[in-house]
Amino acid sequence: MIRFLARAAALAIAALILFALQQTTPGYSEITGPITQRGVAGTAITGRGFTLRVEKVVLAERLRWQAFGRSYDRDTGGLWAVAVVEAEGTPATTALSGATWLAASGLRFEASQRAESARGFLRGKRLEPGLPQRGLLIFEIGRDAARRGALLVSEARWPRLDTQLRIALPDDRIEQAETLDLDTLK
Amino acid sequence: MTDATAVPSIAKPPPNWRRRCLWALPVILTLALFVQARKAVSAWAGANDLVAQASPFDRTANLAGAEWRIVSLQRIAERPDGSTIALLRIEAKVLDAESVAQPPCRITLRAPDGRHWQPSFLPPSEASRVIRRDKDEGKTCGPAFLGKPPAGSTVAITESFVLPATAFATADVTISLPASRPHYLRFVRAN
Repeated sequence: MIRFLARAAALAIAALILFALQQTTPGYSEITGPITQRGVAGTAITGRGFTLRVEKVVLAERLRWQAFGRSYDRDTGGLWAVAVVEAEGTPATTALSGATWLAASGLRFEASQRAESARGFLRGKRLEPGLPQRGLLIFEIGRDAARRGALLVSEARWPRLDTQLRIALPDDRIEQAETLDLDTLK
Repeated sequence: MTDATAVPSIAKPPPNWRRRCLWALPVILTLALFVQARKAVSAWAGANDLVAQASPFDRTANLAGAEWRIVSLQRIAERPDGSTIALLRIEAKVLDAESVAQPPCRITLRAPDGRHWQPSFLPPSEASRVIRRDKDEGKTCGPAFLGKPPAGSTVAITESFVLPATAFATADVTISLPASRPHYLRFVRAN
């Protein structure tokens, strides 16, 4: 009788373990997703194909810049978040196509294309090894997404099995402005 | 009377299949892994420059159905940010028209420390001026082979690069084509 009970218990434990394994198996998209590398604004972080340092973030109600012989002025329903960064391709020439503002609530804001003509606009620009470039990553974010957020930066827009930097943005790296002239940031 | 001594029969023990199967497991698993990964590994090797075929800078070298020669590598401008604009001119004498015309063709400048610079998609203004002045067609590697040049013809290729001024003197020229990978040609600068 004891032997029978021991066998039944072993079987039940095995079934339980298998069930736990099944429930905790990550999905295909999770296994082949981005490889997150964490860092904090102010320090240089090196990924597989590039190095990036976030100097500061400026939150603003309006943006202004000069391009093609005229002045541009843009407002937004939320806030503009302009990250001033320095980036370099390592070890080969590359470009950063993936830039997302990750709010503390989990909301994700893709980099805005509305200020693409600004001189320092970095997204998609070539980054050469040995020639670090200062530039801007520009986002339109909700007002409640401004604090305790993080930047997600990668070479591909939707990285698979490749580095994605996750850069925390402490409050001492965040500045505020009513109207931000992008030409003064370069 | 014969002296009949009983010879003890040596009974062969039955084969231990359990043990044999366990020994076979590592072999079968290795084989299965090899069969499964063969295509992926060969695709990966075919997409990467892994094995350098070194050649002196001033000599011709064969790769992927062409005979390659560096015509010139010039420093044509310096920028205040410490970068230099380099213009590379190469000639390829076609030996096998099919092999050499397979895109994409990859030409880079490669430093001894492993950093490498890809050609500019559009030549910088400094390079465009020199290309116009020299009445050069300015065809980059891809477009140069698009017309499938016949065997025996010579193709001129011009590429421009932006790299640190300090890296220019020691940067080697590398060429790779799908027909050659994982092998690639490395024209080594004499120091």
